[in-house]
Amino acid sequence: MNSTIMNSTRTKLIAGIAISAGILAGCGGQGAGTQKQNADTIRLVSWGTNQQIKLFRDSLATFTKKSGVKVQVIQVPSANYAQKINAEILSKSLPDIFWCQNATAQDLGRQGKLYDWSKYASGQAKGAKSAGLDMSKFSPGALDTYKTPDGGLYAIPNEANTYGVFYNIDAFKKAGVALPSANWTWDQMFNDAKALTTKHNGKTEPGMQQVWPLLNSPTGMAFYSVSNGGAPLAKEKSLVGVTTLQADPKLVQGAQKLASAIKSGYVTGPDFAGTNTEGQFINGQVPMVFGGQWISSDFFAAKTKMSWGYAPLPRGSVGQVAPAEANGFCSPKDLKNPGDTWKVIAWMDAHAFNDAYSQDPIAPIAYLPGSQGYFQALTKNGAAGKSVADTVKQELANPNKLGTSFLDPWSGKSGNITTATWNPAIQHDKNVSGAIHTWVSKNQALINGH
Amino acid sequence: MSSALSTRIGGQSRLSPAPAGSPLQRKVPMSVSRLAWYGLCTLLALTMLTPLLWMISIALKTNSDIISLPPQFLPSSFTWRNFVDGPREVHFYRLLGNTFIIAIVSTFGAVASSMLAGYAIARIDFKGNRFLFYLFTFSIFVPGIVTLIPIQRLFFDANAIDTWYPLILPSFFGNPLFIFLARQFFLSVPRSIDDSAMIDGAGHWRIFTHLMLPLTKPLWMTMIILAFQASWNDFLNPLVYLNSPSKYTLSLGMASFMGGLNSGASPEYNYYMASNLLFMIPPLLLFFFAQRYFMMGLGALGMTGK
Amino acid sequence: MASTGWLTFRRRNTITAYVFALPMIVGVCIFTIYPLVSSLYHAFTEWSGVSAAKWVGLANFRYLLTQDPTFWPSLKVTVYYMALSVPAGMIAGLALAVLLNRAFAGIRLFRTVFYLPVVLPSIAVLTLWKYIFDPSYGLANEILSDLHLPTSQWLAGSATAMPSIVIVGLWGVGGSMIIFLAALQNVPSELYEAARVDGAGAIRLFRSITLPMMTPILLLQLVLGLSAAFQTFNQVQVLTKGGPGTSTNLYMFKIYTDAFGNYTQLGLASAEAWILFIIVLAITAVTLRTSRMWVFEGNER
Repeated sequence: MNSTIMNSTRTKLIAGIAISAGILAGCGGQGAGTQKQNADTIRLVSWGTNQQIKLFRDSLATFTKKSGVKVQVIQVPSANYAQKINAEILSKSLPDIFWCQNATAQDLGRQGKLYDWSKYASGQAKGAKSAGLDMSKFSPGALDTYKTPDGGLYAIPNEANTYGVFYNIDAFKKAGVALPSANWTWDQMFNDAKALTTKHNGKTEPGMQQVWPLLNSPTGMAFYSVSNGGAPLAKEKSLVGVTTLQADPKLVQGAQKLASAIKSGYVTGPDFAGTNTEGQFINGQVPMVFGGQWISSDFFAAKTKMSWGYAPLPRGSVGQVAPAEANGFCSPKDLKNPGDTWKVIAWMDAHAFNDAYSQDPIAPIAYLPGSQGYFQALTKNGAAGKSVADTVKQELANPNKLGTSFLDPWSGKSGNITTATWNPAIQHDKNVSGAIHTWVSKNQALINGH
Repeated sequence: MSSALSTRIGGQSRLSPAPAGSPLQRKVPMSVSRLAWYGLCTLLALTMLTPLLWMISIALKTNSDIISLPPQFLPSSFTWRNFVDGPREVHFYRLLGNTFIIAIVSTFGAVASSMLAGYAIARIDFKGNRFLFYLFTFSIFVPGIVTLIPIQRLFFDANAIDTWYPLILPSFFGNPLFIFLARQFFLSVPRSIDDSAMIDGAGHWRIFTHLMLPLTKPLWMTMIILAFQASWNDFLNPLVYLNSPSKYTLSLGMASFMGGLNSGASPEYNYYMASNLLFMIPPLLLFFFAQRYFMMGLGALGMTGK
Repeated sequence: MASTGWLTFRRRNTITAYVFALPMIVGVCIFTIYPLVSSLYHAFTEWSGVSAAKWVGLANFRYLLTQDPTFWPSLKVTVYYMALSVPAGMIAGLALAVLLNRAFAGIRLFRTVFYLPVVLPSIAVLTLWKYIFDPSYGLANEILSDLHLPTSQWLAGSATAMPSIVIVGLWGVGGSMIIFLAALQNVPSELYEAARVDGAGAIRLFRSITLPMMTPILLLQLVLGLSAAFQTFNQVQVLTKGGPGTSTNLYMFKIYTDAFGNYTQLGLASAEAWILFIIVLAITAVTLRTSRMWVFEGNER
């Protein structure tokens, strides 16, 4: 009586096993597929947007036609980029080329995990020159940030970033405030933010929202210090090989001004996590936005009717200081095909960015001939485009540059110190000077310990 | 600890999902108190449902509704297209397929291996029985984060990073919690059943497949639901193991898409919420079709750990 | 003869049992024992995962306990989270269970509605709530301003972020509700009848019968709740990333960021994970130890 039931159970069980085994095999096939990459395909990983990735692919298709070198562009969402690259390092499955930041390149380079491009940069390696990259045409200092003290070159710079303030011209006019100029000062920035702060329904809407955590950070305040004749955070005035940290009185002064503006609600602080600052800016709901030039790409794409501009980092009593920050192309130590990889990097810097950013202006390129497309695109975007172009050019041309983050090994633990000491002091304007000195001494202890 | 747990589990597996005659229930003739009860429950239920209703409203809004201030609860017009455009933007169906494959295979692995182990420990007398029992009850108490780094390392060394193996393979090696449940359930099945089968010459495999599997349907149905849910909801493991968006599961893909919405000029929350609604549907269907086992599973989980 | 037959039978049983349990034995060895040993070893090393691990003795523990600026704050925040979420969840769950322990018409519908959020995928729920809490566009402030109440920063304010996370947890209170409901239905009804004959009111009944009979399950829920609170991750990863400041930097999230964040500090993270393990074991042991004092053992065993 029960036998039919039992049989059907057994059939189901066997079917279950069979189906699972089949699926597992299928999934295994997929897994193996990614491991056994076609040996002559160069894999390039980027944190770019869907649009960027598409444009890079288009340009690289032309490259493949010309050179016969196949390139696979892989998108890794920026939200978890660092984690994902770390995982690939740990599993020794790094792609041939991946977007990296200064700190990552220095850190991995020091640990001997990255390919040293110095022979290619100097033209000694076979085929280095014919790839079409003229090493003298990088913007001054851009290559240096990727060199290690022992003379290694662990990345080829690509996008150079600039920072400044996007402002809503209508909002400024309505409030009767003079528009930010190319030479505006720190005090003007704070005063403008104050003047444009509004209150409705008992809620304060800050005059300036910050979407990138530069100004609110210790390294950001070093810009204030240096532009006012003070010292940067590191006695060595560089971000690599730092042995001694200091808190210049000018830096403390700048931080106090910032903290007070944050506490009054004129400017957003380190705790701010805006859901949609950019969308609000386009809708005219936020008068000023501090951020990198790349977000202007979204503003252009939205074809907003409002008029806006982009002002550089403000000047202090002795002048302006511009950020020295460039992303780069990193490659793993055990790179299989350096010759072809070098060709891809050269194509990216010399051609792909021109092709891609002439349609979607994201960033100027540290390899100066590669910026043409970017600036062309800006000229197609009217007054706002011109304003962005002027500010970007001004900052890039400024010889007085400062790095935006520390690159030594101790800086890995430094983030926690900033979170615990600096951020609360700046956010709540509580004992700013004391907190800065604590920040310095705690980081100094880290440096001494390393 | 373990013995205290086991007695409670034993009691719990008899949990009846149907509302039995409630002990607190009194024959209250006063309709006022009953009305008050209905009023309170309705109010609470509406509160619970509001976030979901709001989500549906967002899912139907136009792009300009999304960024208009102040926000309106209802959409200005019903944009059903969001249920087409949203999933396409999120690559929803690819993520759905990935998630289904991973969930189904790992569910099968976890249930099959745990049933076998539970059977062996509960119904076979052998040397080391007690030791095995302590071995897996101990594993229940080890937090996942303690073992995560070395396990990740193992998969790195096996070249299995950015594949689904780390999400599937471990389930084939028994889930300690399921083994615990299985053991409790098997202990409650009368011994006389297998004794008579043994006399008829049946081996353990035969007893397991022919007698126990049909008898323990509530057990493995519960396990299937628990395992499927755990895999469907898993976030940390895909986050740690998967790199290519084409291999992402729904949890990881949806969270990444949401993370990207913070920047960019046009936040596509309408697209997101439309996809989110679809993301919720498979577990909801499972719940409505297997409510009984859901409740049992929850009761069992409530006894041992979540 | 008979005895060898029995031995063979016994041996065959043993072999079968080990074959059946083999996956589990291998699994426990590979996925529990080995990782435990490995992570214990690495807790005493400096290890980036990229280069070989370097033995540093107690340096990681010393760094965490004396130098790490986020270790104690994150433990403090975790205790605060436990103190808010565990009692709130248990009280709300018990209250709902008592409320729904009736046989009125439509009871199943109400139970289903309250249980519904539990069924939904955690990421779907968290991303939904993240938007609900958006200060400008979210439902939470929309409702507050409709009621002419002051709006809140919710997840963006350092004082309100943690309570907001707890609110999201309370939406899933249906889980503990069902467990308590089941326990309520297991209380023998004779007890109530006897007490009612003695003239006990509803509150007396609850305090002198329901609550004592429920203590074993309350205890278990407490232990599990505390240990789950210590391992809360998804909420923070999706909703706040530990911010604003360190206000929601739960311990589990700190371990994750130290291990897999911008800089991989696997040695340090292993030390942190072992501290978590010990804390969870201690919580379990202490709660169970002290439970004799207040758990009603009654007709157990």
